[in-house]
Amino acid sequence: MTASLEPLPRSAAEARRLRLAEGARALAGNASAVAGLAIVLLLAALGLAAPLLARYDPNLQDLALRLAPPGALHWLGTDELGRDILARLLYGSRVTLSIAAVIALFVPLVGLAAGCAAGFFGGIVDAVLMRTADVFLAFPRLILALALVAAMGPGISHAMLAIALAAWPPYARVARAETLSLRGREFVAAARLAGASPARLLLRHIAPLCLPSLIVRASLDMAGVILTAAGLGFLGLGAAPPTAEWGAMIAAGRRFMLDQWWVAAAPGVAIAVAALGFNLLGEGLRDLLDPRQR
Amino acid sequence: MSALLEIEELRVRFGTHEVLHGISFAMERERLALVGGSGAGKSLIGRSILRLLPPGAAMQARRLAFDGIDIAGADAARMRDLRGRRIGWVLQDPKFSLNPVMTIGAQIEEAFRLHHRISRGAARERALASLEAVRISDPLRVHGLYPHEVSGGMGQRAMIAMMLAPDPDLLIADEPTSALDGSSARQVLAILDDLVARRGMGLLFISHDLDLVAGFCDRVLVIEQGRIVERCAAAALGDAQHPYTRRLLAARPRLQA
Repeated sequence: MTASLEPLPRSAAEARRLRLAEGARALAGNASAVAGLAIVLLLAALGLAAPLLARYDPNLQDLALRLAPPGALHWLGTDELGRDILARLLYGSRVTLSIAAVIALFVPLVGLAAGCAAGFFGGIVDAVLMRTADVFLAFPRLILALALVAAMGPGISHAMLAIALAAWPPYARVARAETLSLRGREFVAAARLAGASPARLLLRHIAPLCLPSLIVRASLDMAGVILTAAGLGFLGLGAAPPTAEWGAMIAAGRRFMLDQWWVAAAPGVAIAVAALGFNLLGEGLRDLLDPRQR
Repeated sequence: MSALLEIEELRVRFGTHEVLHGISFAMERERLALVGGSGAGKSLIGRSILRLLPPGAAMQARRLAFDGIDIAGADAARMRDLRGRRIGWVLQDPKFSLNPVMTIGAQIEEAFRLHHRISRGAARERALASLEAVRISDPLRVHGLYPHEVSGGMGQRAMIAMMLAPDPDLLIADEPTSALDGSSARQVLAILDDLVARRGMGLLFISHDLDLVAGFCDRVLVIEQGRIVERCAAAALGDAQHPYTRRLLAARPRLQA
């Protein structure tokens, strides 16, 4: 490392700035991470700006123009009800990205709480939490999410909840493993010797150190979450019609696959691109955040 | 007035295997050394005082009291209040005993705020003052550094500052210098010595280094396999009678003329 030759930071704030700059440089040097970040940001921008960009209402039907091929009027053609596919794609990205965002925010926190508590307290707490996690892990994620949505009824919020319930156990596992290695460390003993309560030890001294692994895990997980969400939509268990959702769009276009291929192909490409973007970004972040990889 | 710390018949067992066989001693606000080979049970005595034994260990004592407070019978909240606030503990190696992702200043402030309700600004003042008390010449800079950015001696002084911030009555130092090189070790000892004398604290100094202890403490207890085998004034260590103490003395490295 040549870092030691660089000017030393004068304050904690400056050190933080330098570290951020260093991280940004490292990320910028990783071509696939940059591509992933660009894709994700582009999708987010398109989703946010959907009302400005879309030239049609995504739910506006024009039965005279149903199943129109891509052309000057409808750039990506129209679906079986004459709705503009581009507009539906743009609005659909909002659904997909909000599911991904909600999962990325909440699931690692749930996993962190469960895993840290299990690792730190051990004994009966550990047994109950981890055996519960094992039960969830025993089913493939999509199957479990399917069963949960089927039980709760279709809908975006139910789909989110189902995906979250199916996704938390691996995070709990990671957090528990980190906690086990941290709780015996001297600085935790030092904090305990200074009179810190168990809650404080967990929140201040252990949980923050578990976060990097969970962030890495979450960023690698997002592609899978998007596919699961699209899968639920495809099976009619996600967003209720007429809401535009990529998976549901593929399901609708499936019937016209041979003659009007664009109806199914457009959302299919969108899902593939989104999953690819999150995957590339996740791998870039892993290289950046996981010290064991260096 | 009763002694600062009174221990009578302290026994610690791991399962059926007893490792401390009835330790009894009392200390005032003085510098008392616990000396012994590794595995003799020195640290276990210290940990018993704070009731932070390793998992699987069980302790019992006829009397275990700190400043008149019965430690053996105190509840968890009472113990947390004692730890840090009344009894401080300096660990062996600052490389491991400081939280790697918190600045030194933040850790000192936390140690203090655990026991006192004061504002952030006041805690910061207090942290800077304790860094200055351990003779750190540029407290403002060190306050914002992370543990990996400071040397071992500096880290150990920060650790002492952290434990001294709440102004405890008893400081337990468990081999505080064995991870340091010679000159930093002497410096850390000088600081400890000065602070203990100035604040009138008791110091329980756990070490295997007889030379160090002889020059630094008031009294010495020699521990062998869970028993106190010798009690004497540090200055009189050279006249010690017990064979184990003699062996320890003989084992010191000497430059032969």
